[in-house]
Amino acid sequence: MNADAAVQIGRNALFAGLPDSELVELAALTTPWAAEPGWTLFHQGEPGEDLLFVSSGRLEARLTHPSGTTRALGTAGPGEIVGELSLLAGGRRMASVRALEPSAGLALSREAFDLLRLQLRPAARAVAQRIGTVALARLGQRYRQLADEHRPPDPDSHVDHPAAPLGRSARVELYRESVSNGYLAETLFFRRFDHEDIQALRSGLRVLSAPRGASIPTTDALWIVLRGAAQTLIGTGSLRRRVRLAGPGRAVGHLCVLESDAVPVTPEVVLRERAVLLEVPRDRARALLDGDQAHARQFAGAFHEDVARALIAAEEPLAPLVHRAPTPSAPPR
Amino acid sequence: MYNADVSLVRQATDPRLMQLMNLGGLGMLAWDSSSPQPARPFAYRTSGVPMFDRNLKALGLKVRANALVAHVRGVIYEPTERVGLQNVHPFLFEGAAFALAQNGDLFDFGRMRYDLLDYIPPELHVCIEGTTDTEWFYALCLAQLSEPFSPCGAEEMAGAVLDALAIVREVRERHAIETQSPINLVLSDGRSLIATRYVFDYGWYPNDGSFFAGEREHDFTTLFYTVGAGFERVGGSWQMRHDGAPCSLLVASEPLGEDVSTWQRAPEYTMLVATHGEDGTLDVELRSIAL
Repeated sequence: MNADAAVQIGRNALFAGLPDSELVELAALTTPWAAEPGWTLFHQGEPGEDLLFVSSGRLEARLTHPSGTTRALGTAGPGEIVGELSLLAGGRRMASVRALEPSAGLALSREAFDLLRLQLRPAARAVAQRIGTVALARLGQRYRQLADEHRPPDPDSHVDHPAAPLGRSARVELYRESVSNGYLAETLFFRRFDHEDIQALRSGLRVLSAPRGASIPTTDALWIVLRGAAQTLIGTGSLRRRVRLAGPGRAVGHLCVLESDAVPVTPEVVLRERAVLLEVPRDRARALLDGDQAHARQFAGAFHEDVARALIAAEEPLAPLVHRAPTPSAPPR
Repeated sequence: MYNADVSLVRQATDPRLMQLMNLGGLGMLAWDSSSPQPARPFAYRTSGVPMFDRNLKALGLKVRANALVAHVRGVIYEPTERVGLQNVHPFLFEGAAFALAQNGDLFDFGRMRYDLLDYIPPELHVCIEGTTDTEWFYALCLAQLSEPFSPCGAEEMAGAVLDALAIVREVRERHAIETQSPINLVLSDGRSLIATRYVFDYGWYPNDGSFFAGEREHDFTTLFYTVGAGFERVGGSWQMRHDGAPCSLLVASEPLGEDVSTWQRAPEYTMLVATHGEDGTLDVELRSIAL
């Protein structure tokens, strides 16, 4: 049974090339599923708990917008998978998935996959890295798409608007500030790190603080927010929109690790609150993603999880924001 | 209140997006345009656990409302918490222009409380009966109106909220209070509704093992809304219908139905302003808060 399942799993590009022994180990953690035409395997918005391998039949992903309109996003057939971001980020399902034909396959739960990751098993690491790499490319494409959608037809019509009131473009000087390893260990990015891993990762990296409104350069560095919040902005002028607010334990500037000609767009990152950030220069981030030391493996896992979270945030339908906000009058006393 | 998959009464003991239960009581204001004095809402408050409350259930079966604001109060499991009717939201001073409920906490409010007296006239601060930061913020909002005990429009309500938020920011700065303090509000007079998704100093937590320190595990306090022709059970799950003109709005800290596809997450730092147009349809605007 596990051998058959391993063959099914190995057919998918994310799992292809893994050693047979690793595939068998992964297969042992899967459970079979089957669905009749019309059955819904998971609903948009519900917690994402597993990845589905499709062995037979065909599934369709559909996205319902808050307006009630629904559109098909695509289909998945034998050898393909759905719900892969759930393995990394959990979060909410971005679309509903239903069977178009009698379908069957295997389900790999996030819980089981997490167990493998905690044991630092090579297969889990390789799969997480592949999902993360695909998610990073999709994140760049999504930012590109959003930038195109939020480009004013008349380039001369740009005006500042309150959706990004703090988005002053001028860079500000950054200041040194200390944050304890104990604090970091309680934030989302570092939750799987032990203190030795954190110490090794921090070695040579700067912890900096900047005020509200500071523009953070992300072409040459990844920034992990330790305190405060940074917003990723897409578009220009009156069409500028925030696609993600990153609080403590979340990162901004993921696309910097790509080769520069592979970066479709560099979104603007502006601090929404004064913030303390850990700067990870691009070369160091790339070395960590490829590294084999314990802290590098933890970094890669946390980075790919955060990429998946950023992608989920970017793919969520944007609320129709009205571009005006009354300015508070001077407080009467 | 009761029937939806994740109804408000269920959220008292089984919220989906919170780890704590909401055991500090339930309050409800319901406006019925066909009742005598339609601007005055039915009001019900209990400091008990609502699912055991027969009076609330009886009212739920009987009252039909055009607008309703209800709130289950979450409190920390500590003997220092003050649970009682005076602290149950929504707050509505007798004859006041609107009611208000809040999800959130103003950190270190005790240090700010008496500074706010400078901004709240005596006729409003004498109305404060409880100990919550919310009731003080409510009085502060009303104090921004030229006539707090007369009807006002949605824009006046929205402006009052922004002015009150600006005052609180100033007072926090004066006291060097820099810890994250969410303040998700709902205000209504039965005709219009204002809601906010806002946090002062988001991402700044104390490093002391307290409840506030534990909040770093969570993300920005949530606010969801859905607009359509009516909220009903469809195919086994409660969801908003879209087969007619938009005339219904639900705003909640978490979606009330298992099917969340028609619920929109309000972006962080925004204000939702809902009014009825001349033709009776609903006009819902989402505005950014530039504070």
